[in-house]
Amino acid sequence: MSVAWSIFKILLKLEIAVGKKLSEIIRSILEGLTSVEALSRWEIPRPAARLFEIVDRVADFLASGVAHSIFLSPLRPIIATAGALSPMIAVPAVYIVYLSLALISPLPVLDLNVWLAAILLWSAAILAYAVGAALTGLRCKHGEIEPSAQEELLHFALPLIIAGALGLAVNYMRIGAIPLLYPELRRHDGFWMISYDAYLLGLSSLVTWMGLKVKRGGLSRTSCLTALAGLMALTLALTIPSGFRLDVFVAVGTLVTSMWMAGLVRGRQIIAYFGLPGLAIFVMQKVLLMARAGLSGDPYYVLVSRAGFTLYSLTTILQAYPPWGMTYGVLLFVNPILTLLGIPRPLVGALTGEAVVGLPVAYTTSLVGPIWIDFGLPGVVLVPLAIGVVTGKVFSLARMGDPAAEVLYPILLSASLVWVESGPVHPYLYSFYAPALALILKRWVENRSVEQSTDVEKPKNRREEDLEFM
Amino acid sequence: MNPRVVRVAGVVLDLCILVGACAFVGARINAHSYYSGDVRSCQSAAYIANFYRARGYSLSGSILGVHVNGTIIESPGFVLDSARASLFFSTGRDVFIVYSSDQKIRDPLPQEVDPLRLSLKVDRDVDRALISLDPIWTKGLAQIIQKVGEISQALDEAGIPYELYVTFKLHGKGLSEAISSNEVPIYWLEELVNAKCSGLFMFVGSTVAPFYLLIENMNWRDLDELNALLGQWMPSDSLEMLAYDIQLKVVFSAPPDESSKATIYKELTSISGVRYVKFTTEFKD
Amino acid sequence: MRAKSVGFNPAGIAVDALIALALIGVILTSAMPRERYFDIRGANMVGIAATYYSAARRGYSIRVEVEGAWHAGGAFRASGKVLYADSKRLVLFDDEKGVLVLSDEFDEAYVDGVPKRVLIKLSKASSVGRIDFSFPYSTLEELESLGEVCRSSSIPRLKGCFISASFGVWLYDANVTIPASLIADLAASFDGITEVKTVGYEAIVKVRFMDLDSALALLERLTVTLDREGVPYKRILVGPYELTLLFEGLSSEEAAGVVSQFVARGAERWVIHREG
Repeated sequence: MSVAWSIFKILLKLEIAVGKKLSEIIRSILEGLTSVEALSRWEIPRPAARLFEIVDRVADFLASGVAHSIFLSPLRPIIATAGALSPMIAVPAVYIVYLSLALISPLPVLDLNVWLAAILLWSAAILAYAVGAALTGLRCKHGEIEPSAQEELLHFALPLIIAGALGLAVNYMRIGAIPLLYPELRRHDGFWMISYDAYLLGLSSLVTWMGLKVKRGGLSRTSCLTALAGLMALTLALTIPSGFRLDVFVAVGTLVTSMWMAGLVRGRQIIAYFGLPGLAIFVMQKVLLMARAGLSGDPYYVLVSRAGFTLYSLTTILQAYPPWGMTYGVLLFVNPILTLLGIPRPLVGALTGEAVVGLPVAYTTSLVGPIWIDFGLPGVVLVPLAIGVVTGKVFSLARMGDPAAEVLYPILLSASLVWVESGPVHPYLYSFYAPALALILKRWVENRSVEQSTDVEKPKNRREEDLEFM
Repeated sequence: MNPRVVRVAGVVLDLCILVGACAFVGARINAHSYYSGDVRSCQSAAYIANFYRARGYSLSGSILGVHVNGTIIESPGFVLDSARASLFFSTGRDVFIVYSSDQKIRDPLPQEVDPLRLSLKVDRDVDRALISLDPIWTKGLAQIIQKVGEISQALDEAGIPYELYVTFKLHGKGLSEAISSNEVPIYWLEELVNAKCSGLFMFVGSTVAPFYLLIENMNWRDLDELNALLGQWMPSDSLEMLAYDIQLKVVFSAPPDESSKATIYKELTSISGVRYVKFTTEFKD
Repeated sequence: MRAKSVGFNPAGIAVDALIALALIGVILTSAMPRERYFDIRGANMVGIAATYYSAARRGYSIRVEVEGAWHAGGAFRASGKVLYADSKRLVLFDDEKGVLVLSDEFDEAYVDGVPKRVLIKLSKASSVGRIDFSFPYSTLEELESLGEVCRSSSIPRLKGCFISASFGVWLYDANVTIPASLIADLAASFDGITEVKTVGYEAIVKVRFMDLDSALALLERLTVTLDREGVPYKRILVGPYELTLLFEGLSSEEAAGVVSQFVARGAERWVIHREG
């Protein structure tokens, strides 16, 4: 047995033991607080409840419309089987919306042929992702996490979420300012990345645990949703000041996807209460920042320009870099190792920004851009296919009740959604694919062991059959 | 699963982690000598250049910037020299003086190129030669041009393409008198020469107390042009000058092998007036 | 959600109608010819310069619209061609307002205002819009004759003629009594970038992208001021200069004709920019 693996298992047991102690402490604190009971008896004000009712009715109406739509009829079986937040539905849906925004934006089209090629390649990449996810994600039986693993989820989550939250808060003190208001101070350094990853893991585990508690009757749905509202507020408070909208999106996306996986919220509610308001907040945040700088903001341009500039940037990348790749994996995947080692490496920002405006600024260049620089045309299909296959498999394992998969999937989906715009350029996000691969490998080995043990009986029968045949 | 397979996999995993950890430590120790990055401000670039050049490392890279005459400069090249907040960036034939127009600290050097982006990286595959000459009495620049010509011919023997940059000072009694008696519009002459020739041409001193003319990092091919301008604007009796602190920087397009180096060394040291020849990775002050 | 068979269902029709509407809207909006631009908010001088040069290097015709604030107060709108852009300044030629120097810093007298919003509009280049000439050092008289050429009708569709040069005022007296700030202030009333230093026996006036007639008028005003102040000077030195000509749109043959005119008057190098 591996020494490293043993050490890892010991550390994991230690972490869960710390989490168990923390959960006892928190439970005793909560029991001492009478306001918690008052909180769970708190009711939504009537006007807000009325508004929510209307929104719910519209969402239900549109959801039933999706079930009867002619245009969407080919997708109906997949939506029915897998759900709205499955990788083969969510990622292409977000892509279609993003591409539409890009197409209606007023950004220049430098060369029509290259522009069309960019759209085709981007669509091919998304299609490859969806096919990969469908291949592994559609074939699964639904299952539940074992009750024995339920409390372990909480014990696993607590140290991570507390350490992650503290790390993120301390990071702002290290910087000495709120990067949202001072954009030149924005950065993702090692300390930040570790804290953020710990927070995401803890968040996902905690929400999964809460969902299980609700399902098994240990927690009322209202209390759970109230606690989740608090978690959402904490998440926003920790991530908005970083200045990167990506951080907010991935964290909120993880939270929301965990809620969906746990059955606490439906796809239509996510679109109605998170998707559309989120888009509005995204636009208004930029407009407000501009107003703070004394400039007038154009909400329409703010809404469409990011997508439009991404498509424009992709056309410049396709024109600037060769079609069979240039850096062969160094740019995307070897980069973080070289960063840790302090060895000079090609930077995504330098290579993409250089082609776009000649400055080493990391512009988003779509899922295709960085992959094109690394691997060229073959990579544009193969890399998203691989990511889709892994994400789909983790999704199917999550559906089957694997606790590690249920924790990982929301993070992987949020990362995939972000990568529609930027490509897989975030080491602190694609590092989650390492445990995902380890999980898939572990499951495969376990299944093989099970198959082998059942195969031991089969050869006797086969031999008799062969003999009979002969 | 076969227990033996599991054991072997465990040992392989441990070995990989051990090797990775050793490689990590080794690379971190050596990593400080590598640098590659992009900067927008020349002040930052100058700081980085001074840091690495002081430690004997050469820097190459590329520049995207705007020349003072409005043309866009986009070219690969290398750092020939660096000052407090500015760079001498050579693209081979040309040598530009670079500093950012919005930076607060400025060197007292004329700005030629305002960079929008400077990419720099430590270049380890480089070999250069520094040649020091004895002072030369010269009328105009004739004798200097002749001496530099001899050195160029000697370098041609090695057969490796190179660029040659000249740095020297000019002093003369006639020159000082011409400047202090207002026979030469010396500051306008500075503008003129810097517009027409590469590198830096600077008058050091004042019209009350002239010191010397400084020619720094000029491509040797521009010496004829400079000679013509000096001959046109300075009185003929002030052209008798002493050139001193003469240094020639040779930048080879590829590092010469040992036999080429031996040939170059032998040819150069046989030229009279050559004080020393030194092969180096970087021209340190 | 259960998969249901397709039938007449108002919700399904509503969703299909929404999808069809969105599809038609996107196709029409993207396919229809319309104005396309980059919208840069704030005085991001480096971003403006980089965006401008990245488009110019690709051979596009660029027209810029600017909303900004004057140095002296008040808002303005301007549009036209970019003459020059670097990390600190944007020099724009507006048909009505002339040469505008915009910067995010007001420490120089020649800065007219600060940009708050810059729209960079690209189009395919179809004719010659700009020619830059380089001249060796010269005399004031030769420069004045060039000014006459620009004023004459021999150059077709000329929109503007701008000079970038270093002028030296060669004085008789050392330790110049006329301060640089006085000359800088004299020059500030003319469009373009001006940098002045007075040292030794000389006053060096460096102008960039100043209208040629304005530059000649500046030199005249300078010499008149010196005469009035009783500061004798030997002569005006004209260093190597660049002449930038802007056109409404020239054909290649017309551009060749313009080039030969100026080559005959001493131009050593020229660059032709194809712009719409």
